[in-house]
Amino acid sequence: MSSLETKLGRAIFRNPVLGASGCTGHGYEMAEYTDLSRYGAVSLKTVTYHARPGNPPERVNEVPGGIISSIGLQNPGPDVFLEEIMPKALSALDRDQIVVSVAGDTVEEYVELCQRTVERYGDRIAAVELNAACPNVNHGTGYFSRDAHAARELVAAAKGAVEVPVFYKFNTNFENYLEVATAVSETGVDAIYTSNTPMGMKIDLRKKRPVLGNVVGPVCGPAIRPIGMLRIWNLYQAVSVPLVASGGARTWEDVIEYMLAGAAAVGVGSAQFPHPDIVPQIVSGLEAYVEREKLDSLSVLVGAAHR
Amino acid sequence: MMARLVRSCQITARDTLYEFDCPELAGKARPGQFVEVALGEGDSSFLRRPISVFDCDGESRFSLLVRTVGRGTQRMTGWEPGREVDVLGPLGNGFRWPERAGVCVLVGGGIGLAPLTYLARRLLAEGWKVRLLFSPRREDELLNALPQREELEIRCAENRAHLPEVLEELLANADCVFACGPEGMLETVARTTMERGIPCQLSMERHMACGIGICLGCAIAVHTPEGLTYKKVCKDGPVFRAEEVSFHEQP
Ligand SMILES: Cc1cc2nc3c(=O)[nH]c(=O)nc-3n(C[C@H](O)[C@H](O)[C@H](O)COP(=O)(O)OP(=O)(O)OC[C@H]3O[C@@H](n4cnc5c(N)ncnc54)[C@H](O)[C@@H]3O)c2cc1C
Ligand SMILES: Cc1cc2nc3c(=O)[nH]c(=O)nc-3n(C[C@H](O)[C@H](O)[C@H](O)COP(=O)(O)O)c2cc1C
Ligand code: FES
Repeated sequence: MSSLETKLGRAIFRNPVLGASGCTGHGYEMAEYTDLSRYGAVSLKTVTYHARPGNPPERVNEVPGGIISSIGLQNPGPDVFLEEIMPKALSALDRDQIVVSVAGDTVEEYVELCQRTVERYGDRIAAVELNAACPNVNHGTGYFSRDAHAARELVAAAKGAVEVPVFYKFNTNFENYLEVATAVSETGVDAIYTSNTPMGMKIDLRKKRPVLGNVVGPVCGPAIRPIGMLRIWNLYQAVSVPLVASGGARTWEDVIEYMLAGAAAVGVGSAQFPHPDIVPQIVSGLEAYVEREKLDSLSVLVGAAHR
Repeated sequence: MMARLVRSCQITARDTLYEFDCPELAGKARPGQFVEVALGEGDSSFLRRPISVFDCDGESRFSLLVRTVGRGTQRMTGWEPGREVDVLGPLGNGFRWPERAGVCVLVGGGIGLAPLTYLARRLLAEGWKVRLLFSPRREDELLNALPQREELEIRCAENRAHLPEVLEELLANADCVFACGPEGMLETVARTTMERGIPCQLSMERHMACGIGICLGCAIAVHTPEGLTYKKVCKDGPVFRAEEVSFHEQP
């Protein structure tokens, strides 16, 4: 077994460094700038049940230690995704590297997206990821992240509908996030993936107006890493499901820190924007670390700071 | 890739020209493309800054004309020759022009002059007659950055209100127009050229996070046969046809 090999429930990845959804395109867009074979996996940009045009500009801006953004989940919907985008993703990534991220307004919409994906590409992907942090027309943003009952129902339905591993990705910026995670862990979900991005705002002094067209948006990047660290720490004590951290990971040291707090794998998001080749660099750093520390497997570090 | 700063030269109180040695980039860059410049290590300036290729010798050297508007561009003014700067590029689509030389009009609003210089160099080399309309006149010190000043027919507009008048004059027997500058100005140029049926390309700007088409941060509303849709300024642009750009309506 390779010392970086990472198990998230039934899914096995070559290493614990994952390209986070929305920050890694669909893999193939990155091929020119990085070595995709070095990614543990790539969560493709979330596809929603109905195509979404996305939010009006401006959509991104720099803040201290990161960015504020409001993309509005722009995507062309499942038909274009399955017909045109998936074939390109398959040509750029190996089977064990592809995680398909889906989102809908209702449990039924999520389930149908999972089923359509698996019918077409079930033997060519590693897992599906339920993006529960997204806007929800009927119940408001993050409904499936903050309603424990709805979250459990969602994950149970998806797990029952498809054979492939199922990840649940949620935003921990709700007071009851441990309750939600506990409810979800009871479904046998393969991994819980956290996006720890709080909402923020920035105002343009010259225009005297909010910078973002959508006025508000999540903050990500190194600035939020300590928040993510605490959430992973608390989640590790609350549930026994494999955890994936995301929030400000930029270096191999950040990945190790998240693992010590309890993450089995780490999603790298916005750090790829300024440095599209950063994931291979992080993985090389981890390889050197394992060698230096004479570890049989990096996985022995998961949660080690609790012991 | 790394580009070595060969020299920098202050053009106006707030505009600086940076010349880099980087054969890998200079050999590929086309007019209208841009580079993403890393400001340095650390979390304090997280994103790169998108800057147009101002000029390029096609072999080893390229330059950037940068206006100091904030902390990042301020930091750049402290860069000493010999410094190795991390750049990504060339990025984006760039300008296109017909093979057969003719008459063209370049319209630059302020620092929007930046991407038009390399274009002018290439057009002149291919035998085009190049007219440059610069606005506003009070910033005309910026024209000192132009290497091929004598070969251009240069006119200045006092301000945005005066611009359409001068533009009308310059459009006489023009085959195509290329413009970069504030959106209000670009809208005026688009309207004027469309009324006259003269093909026009606009270099657009948006805040960017990645510059390579993965974040969807640089959305611009564009008319397509399928209707109004968002495209990426970094990948589908930054250059768009005037009739494509939707200045107000969003999808
Ligand atoms: C394709 C493209 C080509 C450009 N070419 C040039 C050029 O040749 N010369 C030049 O001087 N400027 C150019 N710009 C604008 C330049 O990118 C910004 O002025 C620069 O990023 C500001 O950085 P700052 O840290 O100094 O300012 P900040 O303090 O970050 O912000 C000051 C202002 O700069 C703009 N800005 C900030 N960050 C970005 C960003 N990531 N993307 C776009 N705009 C931003 C905003 O309007 C903001 O109000 C170009 C922009 C784009 C998108
Ligand atoms: C521009 C942008 C787009 C994103 N799009 C998605 C998305 O479509 N689906 C999703 O699950 N997360 C999305 N995210 C969240 C990231 O996957 C990640 O969880 C978050 O940015 C925190 O990680 P980071 O600090 O490393 O960026 C997006 C983040 C950014 C910055
Ligand atoms: S800046 Fe990221 S897609 Fe254009």
